[in-house]
Amino acid sequence: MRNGGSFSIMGMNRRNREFVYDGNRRSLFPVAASKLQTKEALRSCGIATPELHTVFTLHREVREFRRRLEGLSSFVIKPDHGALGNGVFIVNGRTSGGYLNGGGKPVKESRVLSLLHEILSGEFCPTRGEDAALVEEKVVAHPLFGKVCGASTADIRVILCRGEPIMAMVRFPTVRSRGKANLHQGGVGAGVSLETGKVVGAIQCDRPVETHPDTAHPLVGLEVPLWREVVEVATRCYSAIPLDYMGVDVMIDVEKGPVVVEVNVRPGLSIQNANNEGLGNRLAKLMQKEGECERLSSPWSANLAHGFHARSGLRVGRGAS
Amino acid sequence: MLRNPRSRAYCVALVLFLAAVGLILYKVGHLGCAVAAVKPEQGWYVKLAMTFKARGGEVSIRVTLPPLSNERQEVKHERETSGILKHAVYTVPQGRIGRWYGKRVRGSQGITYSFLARTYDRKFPLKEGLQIPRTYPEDLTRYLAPTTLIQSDDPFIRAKAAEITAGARDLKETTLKLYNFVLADIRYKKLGGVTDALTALRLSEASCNGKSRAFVALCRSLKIPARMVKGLLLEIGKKRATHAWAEAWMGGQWIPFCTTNGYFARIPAKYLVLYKGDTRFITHTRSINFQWFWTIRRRLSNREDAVVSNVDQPLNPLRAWRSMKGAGVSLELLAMILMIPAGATVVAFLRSMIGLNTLGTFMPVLIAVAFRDTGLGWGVVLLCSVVVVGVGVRALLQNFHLLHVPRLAAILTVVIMTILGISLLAMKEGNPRAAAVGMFPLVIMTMTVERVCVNLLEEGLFPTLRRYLVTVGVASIAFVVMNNFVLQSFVVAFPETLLIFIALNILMGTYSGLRLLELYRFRSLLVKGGAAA
Repeated sequence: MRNGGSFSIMGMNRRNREFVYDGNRRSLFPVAASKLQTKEALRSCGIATPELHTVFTLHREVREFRRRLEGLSSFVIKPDHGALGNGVFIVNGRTSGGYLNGGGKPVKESRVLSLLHEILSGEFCPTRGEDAALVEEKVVAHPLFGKVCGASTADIRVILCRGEPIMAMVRFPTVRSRGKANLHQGGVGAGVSLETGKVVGAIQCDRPVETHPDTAHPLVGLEVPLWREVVEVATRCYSAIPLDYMGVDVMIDVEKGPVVVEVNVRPGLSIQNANNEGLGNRLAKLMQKEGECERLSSPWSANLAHGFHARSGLRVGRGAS
Repeated sequence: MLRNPRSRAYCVALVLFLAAVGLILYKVGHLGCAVAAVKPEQGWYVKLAMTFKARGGEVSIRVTLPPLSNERQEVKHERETSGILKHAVYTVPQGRIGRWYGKRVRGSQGITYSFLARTYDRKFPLKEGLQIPRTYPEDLTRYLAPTTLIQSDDPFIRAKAAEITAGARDLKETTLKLYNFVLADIRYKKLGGVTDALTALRLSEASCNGKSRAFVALCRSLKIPARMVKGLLLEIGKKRATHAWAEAWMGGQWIPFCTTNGYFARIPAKYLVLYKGDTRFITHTRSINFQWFWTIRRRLSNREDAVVSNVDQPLNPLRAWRSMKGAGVSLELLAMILMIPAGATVVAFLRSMIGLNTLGTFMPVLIAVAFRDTGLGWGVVLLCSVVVVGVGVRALLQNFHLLHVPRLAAILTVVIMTILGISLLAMKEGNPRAAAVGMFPLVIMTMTVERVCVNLLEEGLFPTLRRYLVTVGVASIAFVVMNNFVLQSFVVAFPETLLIFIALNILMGTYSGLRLLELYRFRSLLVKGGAAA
């Protein structure tokens, strides 16, 4: 039923039915949705995340903003449940009576405080209606990323399947994506070979690009620094938050090395275009590695095995749950 | 085989499908349920609502009522509610007059008059070579006489008629020339007040009444008996207007001509005749703040017949409908509720098979329900203007950095004001379809604006715009399916069809393959996969 082409490409239906619904425990969804809970879970397993300075949960705490962040010249404000980078505010320095934003422009303190109030009122997660605001350390990104995209907010997305890394890409923000590293908003996705850490191809809005559109920096062949460590720290997230299928977002700090910023329950599918390969292919390779005769434990892997074996012409065992 | 969850799902779907088909076949074959009655036939429910405010004096209202039956229309199930007024119907040669009358009437009063109508398109073949007769029977002479509004003896009109019909060989050609002249050379324009034939011809512009009077006057001046016909255009929605066209006596019968919408010797199905003659549709006692409007819907009586005839059968889940009807659940409402699963199935298909992402999963179904009251075209226009206003207000409020919920409340307030404004304006301009915003569409349109605003926050302008357009498109498709008369009648007559919808959704739910639009999204990978294979 499944031909080679459509099997190797993972579509929305397959991701949701066979991986997200079947493989990912519901109880872990809130953990992944909350940056605070993600951070706690990762910390308890000794995985590096950006330092948390403070958390605001009540409107009256906003008054203490100045006192709580005394002496810090750079930090990042994030909504606990934000998505797509909405509501994230980067502070790069201080001025008299205000701050410098990520682009180095002065911003009044009152504006920053009203952003905090907006976050607490659930402005950035309208379905919940209320939220907490995190203030965390600003990751000083590896200079290579700044050189490529002219901004410091690039991150690395690693897809894990049952704790095994199966695909990765670097996400570069663009002028078009307004500084956000999200592919839907026009960011650049550069597929990275898991083995070598080298960029194999890149896309913007699902169309291939050779160079970064803002800086014209060539992308293919680019070598991601500290690649072993990046993959290693991403892989360890599975032990902290055992989602059978997840996307881990990693940033590389110049001093601390790779830090995990976020975990995704439904990682996007454009990563396939960025790597010029279907996720199904990678999953099949993973299956092969794990051995074809192994009894499969979760329903999605039964489906996976079914499809895989059907494709390779082998008989499907009846051991599937 | 049943150990595989996919096969289990297939089995459940198959069982549901067979159960539904089995039940329907059993009911048709053994219990004698009517399938034939489900077949749709064009028909209309028409209601005239009138309100006025009296100050204790005498009130009299005269309304022209449609003839109960003629060669192309039937009127059944007439109902009227008039409160304290007395009601009587008089038959006159030109049609019927309904009269509501009361002495010492005080306060706000309402009258409704409704009926079910079935009309047919009718074309009249005209014989060639017929000449205008010299003499007519006595009873036709009054259709040749001039009146104050139809000045057929006026020298200008006589000259005009002669000029237009110069060279016409027979009666058919004469009327065709007159018809073409009035259709094309007198521009249609909505005019206040009464336009007589002479004015219409002199100004070269008139409404349907003026144009028809001009046609009648031209006919009469050439000794062709002609008369005005007052009627109603049957279109779903609410309206505050009637229509007028003309008839000419040719070859022993009255032949209809509409010089406004262009029907030569033809009366289309959407025309309902109210009265033959040039009389006002409603006359009433002065200064009672009299208001009236029509409500027109598709006729449901034959579907009702189907349901009623099937209701007494055992195994019919709708046996309870009769008691629901007592509680005010109309068959229309029931049909709408039963069609929601159809709409939801359409949305599910477009999402998980095609890959169209909308604002809110089942928002398009709700929008489609809202379109029922306004009609598709007006619904889309109304929804779009409301969304533009909502998004505009949101942009204006952006600078104040307001909290989400109060800002939304402010936006929604403006949206409500806009909808009411559009309704009032449309009512005034005589476009009642746009005014047909009931409580339910109002709520749904407001919800849509909320969803758009939330999405703007999450995704930004252009992705939201795209998503919004997709939503309107999906809603339109859902609307077309949900308003499919055959499907509606079938589901109402055999509610077990809903099991088939469940089966369809189970089948769709087992599909793990690529969505149609993903073929495009991953086209470069597909090409590569194809090359490798």
